[in-house]
Amino acid sequence: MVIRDFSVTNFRNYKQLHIEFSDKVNVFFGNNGQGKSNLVEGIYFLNHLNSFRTHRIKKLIEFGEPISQIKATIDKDGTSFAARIEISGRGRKVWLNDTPIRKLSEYITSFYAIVFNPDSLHYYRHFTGERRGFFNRFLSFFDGIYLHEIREFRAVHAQKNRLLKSGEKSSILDWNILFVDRSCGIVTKRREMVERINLILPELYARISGREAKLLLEYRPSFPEDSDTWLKLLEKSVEQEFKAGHAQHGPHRDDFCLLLEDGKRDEFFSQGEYRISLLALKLAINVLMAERMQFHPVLILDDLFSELDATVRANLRQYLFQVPNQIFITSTEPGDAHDFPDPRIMEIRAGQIT
Amino acid sequence: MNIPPSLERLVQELARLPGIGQKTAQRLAFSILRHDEARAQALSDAVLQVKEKIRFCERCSGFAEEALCQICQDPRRDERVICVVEQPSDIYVIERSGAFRGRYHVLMGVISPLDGVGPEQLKIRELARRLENEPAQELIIATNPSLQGEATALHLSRVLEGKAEKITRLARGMPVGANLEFTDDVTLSQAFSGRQDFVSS
Repeated sequence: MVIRDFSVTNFRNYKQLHIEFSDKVNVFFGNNGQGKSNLVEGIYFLNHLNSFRTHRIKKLIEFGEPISQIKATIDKDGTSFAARIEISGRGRKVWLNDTPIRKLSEYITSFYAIVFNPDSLHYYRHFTGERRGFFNRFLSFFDGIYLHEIREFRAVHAQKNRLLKSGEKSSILDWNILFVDRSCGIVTKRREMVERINLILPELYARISGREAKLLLEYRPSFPEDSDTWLKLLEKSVEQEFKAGHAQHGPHRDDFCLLLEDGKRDEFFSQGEYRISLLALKLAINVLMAERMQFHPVLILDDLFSELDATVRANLRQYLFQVPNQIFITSTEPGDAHDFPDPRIMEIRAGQIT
Repeated sequence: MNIPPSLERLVQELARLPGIGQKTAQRLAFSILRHDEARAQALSDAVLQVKEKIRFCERCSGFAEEALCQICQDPRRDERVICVVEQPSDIYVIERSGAFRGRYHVLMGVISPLDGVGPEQLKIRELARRLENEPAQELIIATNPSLQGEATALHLSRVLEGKAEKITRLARGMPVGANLEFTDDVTLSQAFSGRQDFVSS
């Protein structure tokens, strides 16, 4: 996919902005606090209808304004889409080719942006919910049924939690059976995804980090994957769950962990190691989308180059030269992208392109 | 221009009905106003009488005007097959299809902890008692294909196990006359997992 042109109104510190993008590399440079991250946040929002920096979308509206708007032309599979998004205190509204989109899920499973940003790295590293959210987002895009399965599971989860809080025991077994049933598809798809990623990740990590050690992604489900074993476990822990008042095991407690071949887990990674590992993971997902779906998401590298050492920076550039994705780079140095072929370089100053 | 209060009252009462918005309510009210008195009287009598006369069947909880509903009274219906539905109105949907010649049992809801409804609030005990008095060959569970409907079906199949020779559940899948191209992913994937052997009839 390629974003052709892009405009925002009352978005963060942008009163009004219209840009035409290159379908290859776009560089936004400028001093800190001028609005580089805000701009790529807008590009991310265009794809996912949420932000990688905040869960409160009201914060995206320029202070004192009622409505913020994002408009863009997006090319995908040879078709051009005119997308328009309105953000107001009441939420988000979306139009594609002037047709209002009732189910936002239809929209967010059409486009995709992969983002590298210091805030999203922080959230990913420290919150399991962020990690699940990250993979849920990917799987919803990758697999037509996954989003429905997640929603069904959440509905069962809500019913079961209410039951556990009420102390009413007569239908707990029925809800546990449904709980197990609705988890099975999710856990299988998560496991398959991790296996597929691990066919790509070690080599990609070696290439970008320049190190010998292999990086792998590990799936850590919070419950036995065999449904009979799991249902028995749930039956055994009924009393315990009623005491806790909420479901203690399930896909809502799963986790994903990066680890190096020598057994070093990501909790012991240095900040630099973590950054490169997550970078490799996200690029592996990009490869998976290209291989399996012939789809190329937009890549957003927000303030990334300044944080990498010279070897990794060179390796990453080498790698990015040959991917077909449309790329957005923000940097304080215009030089960070000088050797990309034909980049479109834009300077950002106080919410304006100069 | 304001609508006169008595007309406004009718509009508001009509607008409280499901599927009726303000505009439709106004159209209906104007139409009622054009009727002669006898027709208006007939409508109001019909509304009052339905509340007065309709009660729930003592056996199946469907709508009835006597102790038993017409279906429970009908000797031609197969009493060895019982179809369990959520609401009395579901009976008429199935009847319209003509696909079922047995008797019904209405649960009066579905299990939904979020709405504070557990098995105790449903007519499950009544169903169990009924099965003891009139043994059934087959119990067909026709609750909706929603989560709550499914939880209810699971519950019934568990607590009524052995009380009927066979307990079955309505199939899910492709709607008749539908086009593959326009079938949503979820329905299609369920139709795949519920596919059946090709048997010539």
